[in-house]
Amino acid sequence: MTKILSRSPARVVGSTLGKRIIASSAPAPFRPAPRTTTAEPPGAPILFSAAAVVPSAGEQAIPSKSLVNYLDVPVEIHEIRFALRFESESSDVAQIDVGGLTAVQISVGNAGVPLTHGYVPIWSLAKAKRESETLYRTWLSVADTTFSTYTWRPSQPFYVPPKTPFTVQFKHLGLIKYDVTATIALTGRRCAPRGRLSSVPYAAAFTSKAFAFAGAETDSSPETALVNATGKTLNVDRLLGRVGVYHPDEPGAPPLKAVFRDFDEPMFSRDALTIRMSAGRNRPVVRDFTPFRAVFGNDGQIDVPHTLDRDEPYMIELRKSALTAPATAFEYWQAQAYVSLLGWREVTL
Amino acid sequence: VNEPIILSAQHSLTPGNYTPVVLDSGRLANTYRDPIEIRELRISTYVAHAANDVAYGAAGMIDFTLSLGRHPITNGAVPLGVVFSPFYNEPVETGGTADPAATKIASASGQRWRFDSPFILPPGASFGGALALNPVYTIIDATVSALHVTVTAVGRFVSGATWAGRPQPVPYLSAWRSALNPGAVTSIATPQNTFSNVFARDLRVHRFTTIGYIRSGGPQIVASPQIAAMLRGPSDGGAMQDYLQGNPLELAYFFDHNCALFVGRHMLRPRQAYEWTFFNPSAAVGTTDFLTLAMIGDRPEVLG
Repeated sequence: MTKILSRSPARVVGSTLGKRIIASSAPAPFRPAPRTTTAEPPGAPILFSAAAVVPSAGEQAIPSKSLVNYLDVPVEIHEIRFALRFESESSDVAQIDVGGLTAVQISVGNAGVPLTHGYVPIWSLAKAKRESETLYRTWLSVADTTFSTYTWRPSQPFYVPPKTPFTVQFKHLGLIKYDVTATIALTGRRCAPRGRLSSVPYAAAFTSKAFAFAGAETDSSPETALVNATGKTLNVDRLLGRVGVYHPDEPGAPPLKAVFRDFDEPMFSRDALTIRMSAGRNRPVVRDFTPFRAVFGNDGQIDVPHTLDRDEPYMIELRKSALTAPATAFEYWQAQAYVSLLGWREVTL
Repeated sequence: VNEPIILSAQHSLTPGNYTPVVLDSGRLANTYRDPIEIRELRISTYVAHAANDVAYGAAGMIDFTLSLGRHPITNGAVPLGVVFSPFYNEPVETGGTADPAATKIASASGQRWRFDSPFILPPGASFGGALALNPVYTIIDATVSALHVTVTAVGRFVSGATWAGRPQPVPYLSAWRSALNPGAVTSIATPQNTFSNVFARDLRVHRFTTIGYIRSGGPQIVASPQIAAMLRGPSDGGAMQDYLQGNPLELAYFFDHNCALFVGRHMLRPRQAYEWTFFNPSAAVGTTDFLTLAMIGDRPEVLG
């Protein structure tokens, strides 16, 4: 006798893309169809995202409560991703690493536990030129679009209880006249409840003044910049150091081309720009002035996990030696040093 | 005590002078009370005015030796470029005042060797060694300006004397460079003593890397299907004895796109050796001016 097996009841499987909340002035996003959220097993991937259009030289917060773990289960966040894009009216910009021109301020929970110490340039959250960052420049039929993505990948998953909101505010640093559409995405997976103790990421940054091409100049960070302001011992994953080079007129290109990138312009980054650094106020990390790129490498990081006591800063001193312009007109290059620390600490959310 | 610490020394290499420049050990010394766990080594180059040859491949023009106190890290002088396969470091970068007509290029390159096993630099110990332009540099435009080379060791302080009296991993690399224009011969075998374990204890081998250099194009991945190679394993029953069963294999099967051959960490016993043979290098005539090959590993040493 043939036994007919009954089919198992259908079960919702696969990932659930989270809400994509877009500020009213942002272009209409791709909006996946809502799916059941409570039937997903632990481990199922999630993504929460929100976006805002940030006016040139202005600030823009994502709408209140738009970025939240809306699930009934906790999640652990593995990556915080950013996608930045602007569309120019014509091809008058080129090679713009938008993350150097846009900063973000993030906090989590109703009590506003900070993930960033004030505003942090977005490219100071991601290693340079590696798998965590990509740049695109595409030509569309109407506008010239520059598009950059960055990934902040803390060493510890970031536990987020149900209904926990995030507060995100972007800041356009104003070097280009175009508005930037900024998207933040939290990616991770569902997990089993384990109390409210979380490894909350933390970033603090220092951006130097803009060094002109010709003259010798110095700069130093204040104690309030690269500081562990969490009130707890900070587990530092890495220090990042990048050199942003800005050129309002790209050589060989039509006038008004703007360039901003951490292209390793040798005169600034290899020879002319040197750095000395200490932990706390006098513990040497880099004792003598050393070329910036030798300290951070071409991928822009000191990948040495360690701890930093509460209220302790890293102190940065920068020297830029005088340069003689070569025959080719490069007098207009300016450079800024970006140094950041990335880590995490235990917080009860 | 686990805070980062960075040691660095800067040197200049002058075209036409092939005398090794001794590393500034004073700048590469642990002058602190706590031992330092060294996690990576960086060697960066900068040329203010270079011919195309150097601009794209300065790392191929420099040999270096390195030691940790009395313990050698390199087997004599090794070509800089091959040690740091692209997988483990940043690509060579060029830029700045590029002006092809004048062939004057400001060039910067960065190489990073992130150690498979971090090792201890005890208080009072230092790195020693030297940098030198290798003879390949004779092909370079004499108007090239000096190469500025920065050697940087990145690590962190570690506490206590847990290392004292205990064997610690010390990196080891041995490398070979072919003669110029290897395509003039039908096969090239590496010397028998280049990829041998010269120590009285087991050598842990992590990987092999290979890279070729051409004068006007810089480093080139030589995992070309046109060139074959054969690896002979240790003769007395080591892990690689039957590797490839003695048959030549196209390089592309040996090395991935990052020029690295991962054979799995394994032990090379004292006096055991690998021998490589490159076949048909003539396939690379006109594109590759010399080939390099390196074996990278570590062995235990008692420091201090």
